[in-house]
Amino acid sequence: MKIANYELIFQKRTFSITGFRAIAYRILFVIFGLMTVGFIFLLNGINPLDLFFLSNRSMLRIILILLPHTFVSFIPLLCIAIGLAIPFKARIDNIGAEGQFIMGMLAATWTAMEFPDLPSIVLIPLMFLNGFILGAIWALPVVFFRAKGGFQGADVVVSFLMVFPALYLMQYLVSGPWRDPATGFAFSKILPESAQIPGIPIEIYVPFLDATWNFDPVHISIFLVLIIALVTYYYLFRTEEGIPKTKIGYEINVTGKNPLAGRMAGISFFKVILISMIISGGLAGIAGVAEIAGNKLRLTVNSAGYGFTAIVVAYLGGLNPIGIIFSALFFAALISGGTAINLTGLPVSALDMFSGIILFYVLLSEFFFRYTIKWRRS
Amino acid sequence: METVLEMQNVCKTFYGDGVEIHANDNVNFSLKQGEIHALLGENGAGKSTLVNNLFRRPDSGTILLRGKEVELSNPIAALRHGLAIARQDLSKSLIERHTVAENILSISEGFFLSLSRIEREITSALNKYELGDIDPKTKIWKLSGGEKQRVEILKALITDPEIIILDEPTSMLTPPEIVNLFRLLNSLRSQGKSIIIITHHLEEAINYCDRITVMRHGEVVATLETEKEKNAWASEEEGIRHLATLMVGKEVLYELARKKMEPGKLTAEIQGLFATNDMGDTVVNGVSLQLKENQILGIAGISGNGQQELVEAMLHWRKVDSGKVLIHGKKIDDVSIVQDITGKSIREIRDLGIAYIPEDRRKALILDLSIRENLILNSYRKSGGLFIDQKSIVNVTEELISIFKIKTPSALSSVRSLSGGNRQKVVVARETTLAPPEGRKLILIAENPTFGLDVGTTQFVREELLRLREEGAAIMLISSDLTEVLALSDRIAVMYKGKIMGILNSQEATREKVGLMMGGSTLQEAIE
Amino acid sequence: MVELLNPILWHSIVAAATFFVLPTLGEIYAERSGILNLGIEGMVIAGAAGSYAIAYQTQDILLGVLFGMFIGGLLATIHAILTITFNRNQVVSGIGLTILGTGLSGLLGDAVIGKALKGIDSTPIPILNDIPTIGEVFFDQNIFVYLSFILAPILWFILYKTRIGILIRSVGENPSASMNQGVNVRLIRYLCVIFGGMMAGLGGAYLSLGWLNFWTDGMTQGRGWIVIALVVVALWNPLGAFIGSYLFGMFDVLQFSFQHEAIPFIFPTGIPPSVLKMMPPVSTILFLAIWGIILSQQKVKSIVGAPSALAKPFED
Repeated sequence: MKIANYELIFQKRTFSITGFRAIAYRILFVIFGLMTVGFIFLLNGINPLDLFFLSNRSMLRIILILLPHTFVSFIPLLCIAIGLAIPFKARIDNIGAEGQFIMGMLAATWTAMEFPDLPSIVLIPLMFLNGFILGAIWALPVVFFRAKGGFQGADVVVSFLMVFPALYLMQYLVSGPWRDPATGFAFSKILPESAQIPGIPIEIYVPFLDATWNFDPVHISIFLVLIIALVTYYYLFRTEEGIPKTKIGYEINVTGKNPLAGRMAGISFFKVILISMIISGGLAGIAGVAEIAGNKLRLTVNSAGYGFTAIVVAYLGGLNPIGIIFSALFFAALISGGTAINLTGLPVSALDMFSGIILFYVLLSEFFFRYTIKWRRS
Repeated sequence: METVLEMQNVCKTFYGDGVEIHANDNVNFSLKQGEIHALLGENGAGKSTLVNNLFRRPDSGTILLRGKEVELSNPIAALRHGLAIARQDLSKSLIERHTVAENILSISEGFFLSLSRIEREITSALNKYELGDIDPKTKIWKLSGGEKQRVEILKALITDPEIIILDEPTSMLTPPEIVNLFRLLNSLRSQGKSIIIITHHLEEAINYCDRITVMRHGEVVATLETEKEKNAWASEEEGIRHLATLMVGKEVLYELARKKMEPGKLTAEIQGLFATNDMGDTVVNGVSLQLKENQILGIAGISGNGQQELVEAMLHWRKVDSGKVLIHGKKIDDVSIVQDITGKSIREIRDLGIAYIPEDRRKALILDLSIRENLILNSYRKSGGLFIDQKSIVNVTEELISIFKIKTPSALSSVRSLSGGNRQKVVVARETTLAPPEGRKLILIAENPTFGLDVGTTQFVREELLRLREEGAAIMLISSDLTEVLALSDRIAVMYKGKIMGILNSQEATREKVGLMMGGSTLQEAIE
Repeated sequence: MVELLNPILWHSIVAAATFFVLPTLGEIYAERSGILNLGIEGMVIAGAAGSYAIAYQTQDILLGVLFGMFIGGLLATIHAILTITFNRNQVVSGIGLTILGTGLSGLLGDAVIGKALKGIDSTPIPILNDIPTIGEVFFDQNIFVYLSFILAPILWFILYKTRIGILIRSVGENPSASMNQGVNVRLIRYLCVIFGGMMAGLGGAYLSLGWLNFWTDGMTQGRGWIVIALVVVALWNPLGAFIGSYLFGMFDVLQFSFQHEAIPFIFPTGIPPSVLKMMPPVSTILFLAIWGIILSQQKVKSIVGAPSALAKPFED
């Protein structure tokens, strides 16, 4: 770009930015993203400052009042995003986590309805196991398309298209065979008590909000997903002296950065994709089980779309489980604050704009890890 | 004579990961009307960068054409001013899936174009410059390396430029074709054209060029008048030595101490191998070779004659159509065990102690990972189970870095931050220390292992190959650099169009014989 | 049994297929220039919502269509900036575009959900219209359909027979070589990606104004993703865009015809709609599987496969 005698150029940095400076850059660009969304709201005649912070019905205030609900969506977002970070790191673009998540919900419901008499201590782990298996199976087509696809983007398209059979299968089941005759809606029966994951019964009165935080909907799978995050981090992501702890962790690194060199050294591309997609689909399935057995307790015709938001969560977290914990919190808060958007008369789907635009800015921030802007006299 | 082109105080800097490379540092260069001017220098000396400045504005400095300052900010501007270039890296210059005519669009203008008119012009230009018979309707990928190079040269000449720049134009040509090319350049010179030729063949510069500019580390070291110097040099060899010293900055020792050794036992064997290239043409045509311990088998030939596919077929990177690759094991009860590795997975093949230094560094290095992670690419799976033995790896990699003198602040720096020479040292360090299974010696396949390296690293790599040979390794050295093959190999197989034209031992192999065979003569014809 | 020879059925198949043809043509150009834009779904849905909203408010269909193209082009520009100027991952940016477009469609179309608007009438072409069956199927359609008939050959001609076409293919095959010849790689890529976005927006406008004549949230039902598969089926050739589009248009329409078909034992009272809805995505996946096996043959790939530089980062 040229202005008068000066030219705007991008100059490569001598060293790319890492560590805390990188995090600071990310946060700065997320703020730019929020400003962009605010601008779009402004075009729609809504004052973004009021919407975000100032008014009595601002997103910030609603987020604070609904803080326990934030954790409800934090659980699936974190679990799915951790699962996505692994294939993303190996440069496999699995964007069909939503389908794998739905299959997890179906697995949980089926298991609970099939074995209602099992004690919780057996039934709930069995539900998680089935959820993992079904989620992983739903991710398998991506593996074959990635390994043998023959053209760019086949895996991406297939992983996305796999969402629809899952969604329609769920719709078919809740409006047909699994329908609860007691209600007029397309709902499945409520899960038997033995299949419900217990909540955390805490109530805290917060004086400055004049509201009570009721943690009851937050179920104990929150500990499970946090453990999953830490274990994944420790075994696959953390490096000691520059080397990951496990062989598969190293192989994922190599495959993601240069599969050609990896294959030349005898690393099986197929094996790496297979393992990372099984973990990925499995974790999305687990998230589905937790959602059904801890939060929703019955299937409905819709799913919440966590699988798509989780893509943005994973990238915002820098594809690192520790970063993802924070970005999942951020997006969970955004989702619970979404009620505020609804109160202004706009549809909740406007919330998707946050995800899309923040993803763009996160991508952009990565450019500035490597480059800086300079004015040069031409 | 009049100076047509002058470059004054030209600077160009590149920014790498952790490094700033001053590829051109206040360079002054001038080209006279009607001369052939050679630009010499090691790889990375800044020759290509210097001429590229004529096609995309340098960071600073001025360019004068016939005394007038011009701004050449893009290739089109350069074309209008009568400059044309044939580039070195054909993969960045020719579009493989387009036809010859579609690649030479520079002679057409307007929205609609008549490809048949362009095709006619190309054919007549090919005849005019005697560049051989190439159908302008052919897709580039169907052409041989030499034909592609001639298309690239034609692409430059067809615009009828005043200043012609040729960047390494002879790398894919056989010796007779090279003679033809210089005959063409001579006739262009007599028409008053000015020519810059970048080369690393010093004898080409001495024999065919009027002036020689030598570059080193981004600066011009000297500009010589060839005629004047020739009187001072006692022989062509002295001239070459003089130029080489200028290029490197110190006396160069070309001597390699290749000890006489008896060949050891047969360790690997290729029997009648056939393989096709990506387009389904058979490019490995019944190749049979034997690798013996304590021996370097050189494969000479212009690149693109099936060498690449041969190696890929051996490593099962490419399908073997017929033929076998055999590995001879140790003798048990006087019966040697032969293992057929045709069609086994790369991992199984590599685990038999087959090391590989590919020509394409992308196959060998992961630029964005650390030096340590690159060094363990073969050895990380040695420890059993799911985990990597982090502690021993730290020790091993530190040791490799110091033994192979890899210049880096830390083992955790990315390979991208290393210079070309140090990158290749990482590959050599990793591959040559690959541990063969109990009772076997290393088999090393090296493809142009010194391609694009500076003289120091080249010497280092060659000495390393000889050291391995003394330790008992069987080495297959594929190189398009004839000097290298002649200096290192115990036996030399010459490959042409997928066939082995003959195998010579080091005493009988001369530059002339091998050169003729590289152009398609059989061993019998070459001896006569 | 479904009457497969009914001209009315084929008439609606042509109508459904046209929706696929328009964005596919645009995406072919974008991919030919080397940029993979996975955000088709987002551009289509935002285009559909935007054009319907504007057409409803101004009661001017043409303005609506133009606005749909504008929205598509605008979204594509974001993708272009990120992937061409800033050299970011094309896949991730495309996903972002889909999410953004979906969100934007909710915002744009909120006011007109369920509001009726008279869409574009069909304009029978004289003479051709009178050909029995064929005239009824192909030449009694609206202007969008005719546009798709005309555009495909024109775009094919431009791509293969003109200078700009060769340049587009060059930058998609080998951007370095094109740059060395003095071609402005970035400019050409920008133009192609934005053109692709405008065609996707046009497809969206056709969806809401020319074909279905309503707007509701999520009305594309993932059809935008099928477009990306169709580009592959078309082998990156504008004329090939018809083949896949008509096939999938057929799946799209036939699912409704099977609604009352009973399958013994499994669905004795007729196939439920949610099972029928699986038909287009599942058949796409199966089709891609077959196509993938064919295209993974190295020789086929080298001759008719994807543009060599597709989705590869390019830094000069």
